[in-house]
Amino acid sequence: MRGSLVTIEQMAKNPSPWLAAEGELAQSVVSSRVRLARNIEGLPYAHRTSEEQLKQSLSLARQAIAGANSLKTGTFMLMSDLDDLDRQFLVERHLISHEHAENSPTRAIAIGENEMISVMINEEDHLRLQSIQSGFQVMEAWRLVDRLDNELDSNLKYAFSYEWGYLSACPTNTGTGLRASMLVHLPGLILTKQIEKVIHSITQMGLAVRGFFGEGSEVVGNLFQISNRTSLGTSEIDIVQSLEKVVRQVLEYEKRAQDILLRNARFEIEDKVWRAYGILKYCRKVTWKDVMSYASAVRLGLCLGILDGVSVPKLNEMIFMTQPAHLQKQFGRKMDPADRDIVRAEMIRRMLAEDGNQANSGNAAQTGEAS
Amino acid sequence: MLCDNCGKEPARVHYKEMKDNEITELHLCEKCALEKGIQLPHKKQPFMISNILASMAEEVGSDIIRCKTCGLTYREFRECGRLGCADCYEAFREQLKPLLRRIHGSNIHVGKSPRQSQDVFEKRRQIENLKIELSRAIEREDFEKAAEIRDKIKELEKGEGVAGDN
Repeated sequence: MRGSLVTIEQMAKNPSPWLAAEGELAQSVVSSRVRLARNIEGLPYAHRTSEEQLKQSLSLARQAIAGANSLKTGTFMLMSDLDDLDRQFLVERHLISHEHAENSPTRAIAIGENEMISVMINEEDHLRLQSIQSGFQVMEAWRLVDRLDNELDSNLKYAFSYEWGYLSACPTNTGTGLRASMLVHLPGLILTKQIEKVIHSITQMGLAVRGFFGEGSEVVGNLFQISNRTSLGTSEIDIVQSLEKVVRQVLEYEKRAQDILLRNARFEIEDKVWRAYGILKYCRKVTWKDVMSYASAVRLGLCLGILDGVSVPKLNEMIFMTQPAHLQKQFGRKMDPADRDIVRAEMIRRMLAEDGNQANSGNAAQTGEAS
Repeated sequence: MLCDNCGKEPARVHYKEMKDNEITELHLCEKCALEKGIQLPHKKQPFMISNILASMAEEVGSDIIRCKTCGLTYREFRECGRLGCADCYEAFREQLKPLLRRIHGSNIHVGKSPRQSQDVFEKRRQIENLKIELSRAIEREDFEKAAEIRDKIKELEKGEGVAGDN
């Protein structure tokens, strides 16, 4: 891996490849993610260490990454080489955490080709390995991150105890250091007011439910992140399989809820879906949160066969590419929120015009030349 | 602030409701919020480390235990929820055992473990340490020492082909 093969500007031109909706159940499962927390033996954790030691862990991690096949073609970025907007972009891209997005010369990110594999360096733990895949592919995400872990392992000595596993800064991650999650769309359970009940039972089964950006974040666009909660005493494969099992069960409930909606409130749902589609197609200014909820209604419409002419990848692209930093990077200028709402609306109209909806698309196609 | 509903417990859930274009604000205790069916999905989960640690606060005697390697006390750990280094796991072993069990329902690792052939890594670490020494020597203009360290680094790098990839 060299210094910087891909720039943020280049990344911003296209949606993350894992938004291609290629995996199984991709209508309802946007993405699958697995991360591993790892620390280097003999160095204190990042929050309790000197600048010099942080440089050391950075250097050791960097060398190990340089020798890892999985990251052979990719990009390495120091947080201090990026500006606020770039770092915000990486947060929106789900490549770094909010906490990691600070101007620090010892925090870094290594991103593999296709952004499907990455490593945060000197976050809460020295290394946070991540793999994101499209759709219901959490096992594949585990496979890739496991491989990267083995590659790094031959160049690094991890802090490990045979009794307690990989030792992390926070005891909640100790053991396998593994967090597996899926970003799941559950509009039916929300509309039929069953979501609290379902979340409650997911929690009972030892899993956690979080928002769009993970821990502590808000739920937007009816997208929920379901993940394992414990990491000690269960093997990696068992953690991944039990997540798969629970998510399949939740999707079954979601399907039933959608069937009920269609049976009992067909016109209300059709109206909701088509209105949302209409707003996206013709709006002149729109906030990102509104995009999230309209796109959710359209996605529901696709699941129920109420409308077509929009593809799932296009909806994924819509919700990710119209986030604030994404917009500003694509257009190459800073914009205030009001400005962004106008540009966002233009962009969405253009996306929907492109997406094979021939009739009445002339209007939208003429607008939004800026790019 | 006390709960708007029962007036007894402290209000922990702050909730805004929009009805007929009017926003009403409610401050409820957890019990009343639950009864009203308000439990936001993004609400921090009850098993958050800080909650667990707070509920285990009775072991005051442990607070003065200090990790010899990084200097963190158990009290500091209870306050921030983060350990200072891998050796903290040994220093606070007796306290962590029940804590890990409480968090994970187990305190025995099952799963993968690292490979054990770590010679290359050891060399690298030595080189990193020497590099720091080197820059210090240069800073205090001790060039004789600096040259000596540089030779050591060269030798280590030559030995295992470590320098190849950066």
